Amino acid sequence: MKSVAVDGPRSLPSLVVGALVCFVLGTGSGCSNGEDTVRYSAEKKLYKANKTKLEIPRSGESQQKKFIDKAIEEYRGVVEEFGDRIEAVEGLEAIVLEAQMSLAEVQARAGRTLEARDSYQKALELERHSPVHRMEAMYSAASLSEAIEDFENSITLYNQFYEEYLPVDKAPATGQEQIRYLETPLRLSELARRTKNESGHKGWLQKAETLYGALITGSLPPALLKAVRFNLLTTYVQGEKWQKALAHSSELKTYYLEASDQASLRFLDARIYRAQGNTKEASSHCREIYENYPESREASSAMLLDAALYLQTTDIEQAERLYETVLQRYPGQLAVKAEAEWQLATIEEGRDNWAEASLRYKEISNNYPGTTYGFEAPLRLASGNERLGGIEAARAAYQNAIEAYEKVISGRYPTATKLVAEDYVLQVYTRQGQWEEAITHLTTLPQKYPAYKILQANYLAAASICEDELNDKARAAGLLEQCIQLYPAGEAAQEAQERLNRLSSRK
Amino acid sequence: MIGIGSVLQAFYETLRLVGRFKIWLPLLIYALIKLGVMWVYLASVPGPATSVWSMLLEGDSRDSISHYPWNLFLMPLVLSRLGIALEVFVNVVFQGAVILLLVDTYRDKTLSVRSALRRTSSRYPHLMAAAFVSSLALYLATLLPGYVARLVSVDIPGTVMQAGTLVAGLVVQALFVFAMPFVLLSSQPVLRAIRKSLSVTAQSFFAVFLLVLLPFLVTLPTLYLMLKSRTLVTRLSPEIMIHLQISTEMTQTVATFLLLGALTWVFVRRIQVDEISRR
Repeated sequence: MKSVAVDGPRSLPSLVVGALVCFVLGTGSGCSNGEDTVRYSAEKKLYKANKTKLEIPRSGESQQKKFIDKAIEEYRGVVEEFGDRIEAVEGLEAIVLEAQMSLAEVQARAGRTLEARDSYQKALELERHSPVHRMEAMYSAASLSEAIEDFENSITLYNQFYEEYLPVDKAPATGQEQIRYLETPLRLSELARRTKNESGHKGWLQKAETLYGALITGSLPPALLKAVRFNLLTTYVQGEKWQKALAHSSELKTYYLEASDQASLRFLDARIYRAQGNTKEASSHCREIYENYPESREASSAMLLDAALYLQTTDIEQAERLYETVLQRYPGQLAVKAEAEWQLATIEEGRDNWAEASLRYKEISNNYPGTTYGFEAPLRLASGNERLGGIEAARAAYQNAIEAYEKVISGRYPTATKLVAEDYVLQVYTRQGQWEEAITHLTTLPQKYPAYKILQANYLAAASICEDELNDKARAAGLLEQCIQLYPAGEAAQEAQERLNRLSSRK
Repeated sequence: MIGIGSVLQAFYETLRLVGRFKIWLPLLIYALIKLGVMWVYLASVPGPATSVWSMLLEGDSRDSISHYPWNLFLMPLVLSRLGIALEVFVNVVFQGAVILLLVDTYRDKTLSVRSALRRTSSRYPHLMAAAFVSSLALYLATLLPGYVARLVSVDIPGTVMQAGTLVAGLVVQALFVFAMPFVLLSSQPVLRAIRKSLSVTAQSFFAVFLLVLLPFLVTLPTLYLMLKSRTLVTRLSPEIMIHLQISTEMTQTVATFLLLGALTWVFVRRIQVDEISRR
């Protein structure tokens, strides 16, 4: 037998090789178990989807839709593949939830509001141990429901949010996540007002006042405290508690000395004085803003308000001077310029100077297409021409109006702006008694904007036209039946059924 | 004394041997071993074996390693730390075999790869000890720039620190580069071999520094890509780290061939000749 001492050096490499093989086999045999593999696969797919999402703002206009669709497909893929294994695999919930929330975010950015809202609601169903995600999903779903005028769902979700996250002891932590969460009672009061629930509107304002009052007396970080104080001011204003609002505004002026805050508080004061009928104080506050804080966001609005106050007191020349100043001083603020141009046009119209007025209305229509005055101007032109007996000119003006509105509808405007344009198209048809066109227009909109369930009621409006203007009850009944068939679960279908029953009973 | 001319001639002679597959073989076997270790890493992370790999990391990285894409970001660090052990315990055998094959080529003899490996194994403890000492010195040298910066309380930019670390590493490599040939070809015990290596380098520092610098330059492209790996991952995908690692192994193999070739030529043609003439 050879001695170990002799074989020692030669056997050492063998020992080392043996150790290496054991290491390889040891780690290799510990290859991924099921759960880790599932989680790892989910991470990999989520990473890929996140990478696609990052490409969206970097890609050119022509490529953006492609990346949006790809990101949506990839996020959906993560949720569909791994969503049902959240309970079984540790760490999988966070990945799937992130995918679902990112899916909703991409859909919202792409203007697919209804899909985004539904995705946020799905995130609520998936969530088990992630309160921050739950908060964001709930609030976002509520906010998007509000945007598409699904008021019932919006109110339900905001209510739930308020109950879960805005008791006084939880509100500070909620506000730390996102300051806008604290606006929930104000959102609920606004929704109550829009759904004609006056007691609900007042009730929520009272709750908001109680909440903000309690928070102010607590110890909040400075940014949060400022937001709560301003929310309280908004509450007073919306509740028309003018004296409280003015007192609170005075208090805030002593705390927040930055020019932007001072200007915005003074502007609010001006609007309150105006609401109270105190034009002198309102005008004085407006003057203070545009003279002492000319760079502030409110300066142009203050000048417009001051001009409106002069109009109210029939000091037309002073008002005109201010409107001209707005046009010169704020060339980049389109909405403000549109209003100034409009008021100057109405002043000319009041002086029976239709030539000058119509020129201004034409300019407003061409230069400020997506604004309120941009929508109104073509109709004003048409009605002005009609009044002066220019039937052909009126017809041409209405045709130009339709073209202007169609430009907005087909252009890069938010959906809400496009809907306003669609409404103005309908106005043109009804003003000219073009009932067939009006009916066609009304009944195409629900399919064109499926996220806006409120448009389902268009069938009811179309049926009314058939009944009242065309005296065609059969056709009216047909439209009501169509509404019930297409949207059986909607509120419009319920009303359509009632009207159908009334029509049948009258026969 | 070794002149720069000798070093340049050494590289020229080495390049003439590029077509000799037998000399490449041990290096290729070692490269395959390293790629095999990489494959095992990729196959076993995540999994129960992750805790073994995470022992080579510290802090938050230990938890991150089982998550995508961190397992790929951390792969070069994990493998380089394990690589130190592989260099000391495994690579010495393959590098020693290459040196013996080169020597036999210069003497027009035909040594088989198996015999070269066997003969290297007979000097294994000394080779391993020499590799251990030089790895330790290399590790300490990489800490040196940071230590100096802290000592003089100066804020040194990251790129300067990196460059300083590289230069320190090359200097240490130059100091110990002849230890292996002294152990293997002159049958010197490890301490004497190290002492002689230090002495040779001290006498011809610039030439020896050039000897280690030129093969290092071959690895610069992959080194640069590794430094920019975060950007590459963002632009492409985390899987690019696998391709980078393979490329690094390939360039390391080429650099090692060049270094060992030139080193052996200089040792046999200059150092051993000087020693014999002195005796």
